[in-house]
Amino acid sequence: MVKDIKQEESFPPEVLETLRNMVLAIRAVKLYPANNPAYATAVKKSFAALNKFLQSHDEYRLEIHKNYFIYENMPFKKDAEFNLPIVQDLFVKGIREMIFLPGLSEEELLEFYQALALTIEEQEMKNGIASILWEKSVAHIRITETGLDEVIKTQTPRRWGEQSPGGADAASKTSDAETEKRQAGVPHRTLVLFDLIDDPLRFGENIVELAKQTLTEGESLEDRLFALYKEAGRKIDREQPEQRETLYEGLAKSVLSLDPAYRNGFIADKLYGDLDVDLSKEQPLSEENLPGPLHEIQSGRFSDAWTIQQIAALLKKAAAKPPEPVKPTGQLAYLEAKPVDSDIISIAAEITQYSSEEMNELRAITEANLEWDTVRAATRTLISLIPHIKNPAHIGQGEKTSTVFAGVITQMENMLDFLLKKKDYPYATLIVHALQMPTETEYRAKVSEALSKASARTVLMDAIRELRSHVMDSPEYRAIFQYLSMFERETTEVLLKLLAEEKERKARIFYLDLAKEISKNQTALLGRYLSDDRWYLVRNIVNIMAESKEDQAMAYFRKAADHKNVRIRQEIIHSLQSIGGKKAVSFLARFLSDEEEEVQKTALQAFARFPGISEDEAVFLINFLNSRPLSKKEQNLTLMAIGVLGNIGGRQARDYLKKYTKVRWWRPRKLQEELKTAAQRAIKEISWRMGDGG
Amino acid sequence: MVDEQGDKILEARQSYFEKQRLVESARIAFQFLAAVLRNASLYPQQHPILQSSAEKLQAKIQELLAERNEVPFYLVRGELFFETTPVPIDQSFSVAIEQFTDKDIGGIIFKPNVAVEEIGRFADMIVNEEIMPSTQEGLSVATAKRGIFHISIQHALLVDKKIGSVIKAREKKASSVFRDTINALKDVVQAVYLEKASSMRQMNSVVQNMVDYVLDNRDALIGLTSIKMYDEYTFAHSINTSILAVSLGTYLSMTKPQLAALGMAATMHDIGKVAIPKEIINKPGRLTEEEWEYVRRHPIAGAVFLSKIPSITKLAMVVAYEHHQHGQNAYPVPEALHRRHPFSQIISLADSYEAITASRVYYKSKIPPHEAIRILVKNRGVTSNPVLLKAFINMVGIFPVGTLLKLDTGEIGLVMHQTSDLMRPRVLILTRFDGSEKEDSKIVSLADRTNGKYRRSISGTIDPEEARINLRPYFE
Repeated sequence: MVKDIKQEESFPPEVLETLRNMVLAIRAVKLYPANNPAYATAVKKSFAALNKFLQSHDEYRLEIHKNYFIYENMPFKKDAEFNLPIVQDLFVKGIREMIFLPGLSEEELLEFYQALALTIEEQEMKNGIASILWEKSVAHIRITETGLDEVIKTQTPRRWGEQSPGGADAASKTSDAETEKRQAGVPHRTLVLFDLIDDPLRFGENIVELAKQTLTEGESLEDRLFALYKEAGRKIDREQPEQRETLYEGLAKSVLSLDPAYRNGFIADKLYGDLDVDLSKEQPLSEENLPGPLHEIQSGRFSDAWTIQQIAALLKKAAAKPPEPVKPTGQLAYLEAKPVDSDIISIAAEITQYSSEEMNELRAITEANLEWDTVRAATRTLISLIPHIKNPAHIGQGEKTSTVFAGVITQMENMLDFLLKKKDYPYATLIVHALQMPTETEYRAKVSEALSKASARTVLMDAIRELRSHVMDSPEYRAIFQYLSMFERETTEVLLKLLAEEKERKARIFYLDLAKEISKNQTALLGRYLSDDRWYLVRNIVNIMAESKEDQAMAYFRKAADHKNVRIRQEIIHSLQSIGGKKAVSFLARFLSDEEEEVQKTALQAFARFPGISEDEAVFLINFLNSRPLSKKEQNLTLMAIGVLGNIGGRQARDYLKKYTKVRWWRPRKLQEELKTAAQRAIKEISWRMGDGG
Repeated sequence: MVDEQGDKILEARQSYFEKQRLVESARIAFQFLAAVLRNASLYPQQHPILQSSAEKLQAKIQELLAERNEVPFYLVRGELFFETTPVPIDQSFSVAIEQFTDKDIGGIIFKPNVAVEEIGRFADMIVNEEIMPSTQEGLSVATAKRGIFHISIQHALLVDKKIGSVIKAREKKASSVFRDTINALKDVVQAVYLEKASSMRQMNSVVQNMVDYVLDNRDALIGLTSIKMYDEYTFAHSINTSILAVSLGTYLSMTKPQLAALGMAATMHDIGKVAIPKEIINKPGRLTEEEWEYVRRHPIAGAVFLSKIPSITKLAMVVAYEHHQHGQNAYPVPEALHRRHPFSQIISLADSYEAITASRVYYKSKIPPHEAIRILVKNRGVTSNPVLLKAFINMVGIFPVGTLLKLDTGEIGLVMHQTSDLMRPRVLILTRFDGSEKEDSKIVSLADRTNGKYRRSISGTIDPEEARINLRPYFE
């Protein structure tokens, strides 16, 4: 307000004289009764001085600072002490400017001084000094006040033909001419509430103008606007209850129409700030829950897309509160200090000491590898996000869960790609594990796509090669093995390919051992390869399938039992031995009638070593022996079968073997003797096993 | 992804370490200078103890001279600078600073070929000369008379003119760094609202500037966090959290790339709130439990948003997701035994601290700054690892920068820097409350003593809002 403070010596004497007389008159009217001669004399002298001044000037304008008067931007420092009580009184009463115009009458001046002599309460009862002057038709004195109380008018629009209950008397007294005179007398200072209905934008412009003009020291424009809007709200509540909603809506519109330079700060800090203060009383800061809910909301109001209803509600809330007393700035009297509790001193002392463990912990935090740290933490977070993003309520408005899901899965793919390149299999496995979790149909396509990338042939080949470079059961080995195990089928295919193509025996053995672990449940896939021409491959497959010990494997073995390659048939026999069980034995029996003696021999050996075979299964061998002709060519296999029968047979087998103990004269003796010896040995073995000594 | 940044990171790391090394060398040199002055007040010039300390100083000066033409120390408004780089003041040289300040000395410049004897004569002059010449010319004559030709003493006024403006320009930059970061965040938020692709290039760049600034002058930015941002607290909160987190990072001697990632993650930690329906976040009243549930989902929305942005550290996504996973009401509910990333813990800590201080500033909750520390201490192990909390308090102080103190001398002091004694920060004495003290008042350390007794101590804290004192001019 005071732009250029100069020395008051430069004031013309008539300015000083006029002010001095005015101060004396205000004081006299305030102190003395009207019949006191000092009262009339002071007013008269003051009028004379003003009148003289106004004859040669357009106006006598005084600004009121809290401690001094200002004339044309220059403070009156002379007589400052003398003026001080008056100027402070005017300031407290909210008067910021007084303008005296030519044509001023002594009566008008007296009315003015009498109005100033009223107490604040009396002034408020009469709606302020401006209203008093207006009622008394004082046209040659204008004042500017700090509040809106006197400048916001609830002019009832003529077209409605209604009168507000609160303002009925005033409205009846107010002629249109008077209103116009009043508005013209204080340009830009009169805000008409009903403008809020017709033209809230203009109301907004005017209120900013008014705020600028009535701004006081230490006050921001937003502060001032807030005070004015609150005052307008109170006026609506008090005088226009039936139009309340419409007027508040207009008030909100005017707020939203303010220049963004003021609007955002006004709404965010003042209107919402006021709300936050109230809410913070309802929800005080909880020490256990930081940051608290209120702060979460306050720090989340990124959007300035406020609605009329929201602003109207905030304005209503603000207007309902009683006005707060204004405190002066920077006064030492207000610098009340909160003492510091003694426990703070002990906290301060304790907090500066670090133990060696704490130092190590801090070092570990700061020395963490940023790159790996980031990748691993991001992996964990992406995995944690999956269940949330399938829920439409957990994602942003207008976004499809499937789109968000696809985005996150793409991120996981990228992360996985990076992890695999860096051979970080533990974290890669975490991602795959997350991707393999059961998911709803709508997300499956994306997940499958990601899993296909994770199990691409090249990826698995690299993993298998990497696996070979680590010691078995080392942490690295286990991590890669786990990754491969997540893709049993795909890894099996890769391993079969490697087994088929690998030239190095050591490598083949490694692949085979790996496949036995990883592929043992991939029977269907392995079964498909059983008809392959490459015997060495099929042999490996059979070997692998044997590890599964599943009935399903036997179904595939049955198909391959007639494989033209003897070695494959023999491998199946070995596998049956590995699988074990009654079904395997019964399947094994068919190889006793194989066209190749080598196969029959392998089958007999399998019977001898078959784990857990019972004496009931001896019947297969008895049948086999029954079919054997007595000939030199067949003799070895027959002897072998008798021996095996001795190994596994029971009472029935023993009885059966007795037939070989009799030598028939019409048949080749040597062959029969050999059979007899073998049978006796077998019977002895059975008897010994049965514990009856024969 | 990370490989491409390898060279940049290495370069940044090197320059960071070089600067840290320089600051450390300068600090040690000044410590030696303080020791020489102390010994000069106790022993005669030829005493071996004084000689030995002067030799140490001379050796350190020679080391610093290897890469420059002179070794200048400046004192500007109570702060120590080597060239234009601030040097943290510790208690061991506060007496030396006091001696210089009392004698209106603003700069000591060591030149090549400075001899041990010269250092002795210089120390004797500083310690024993009651009144120093009041002009620069006078100082030059006085030093020459004593045979000091390779140490130049500069008058405080000259130093203020010479490098004060450089420092002021940098301080000015603190508010523009702050403003730039807010504007960049606004752009990102705007892009999200408009469903436009967000480029993080600008954001990365402003966060890097902020990191540079924190490395240079942490306290100036921390001071700004204490100032109320009337119209833009929502944005300021994220930036304040970022400044506090990065400041803790510098306190923990993190590397520049770590600091940049930390700063970025902190700036973006609340970005998920953009997804909260506007009618909820701008509701002119208390939220219902159902509405509050939306607010609780912001970490997920934030993480999803950040996961899609390629040019931003993935730690931003991690922190956005994890920053509320602490305490009884953690959300999203963490898995059992889940251990949050240290950055998430640092940012939660900064976030919580900022929330407590904001409650004082914005809701008139009457919580003095030291009370915020008490609340955090009470919650130790909840919001973050207790050792991180300890480091945070050591960094921010019991009376953080920007705290208004009433002193037992009746003076009002504004905390400008911390010292190793958390109860005795360095304060600017306020007399006019309009920011102008910054220009002419000195910063005093509450650790200063006379005859073994502290000159000033804290008797209480003052709420600047209550006292209607605008602190903005002191930090802008």
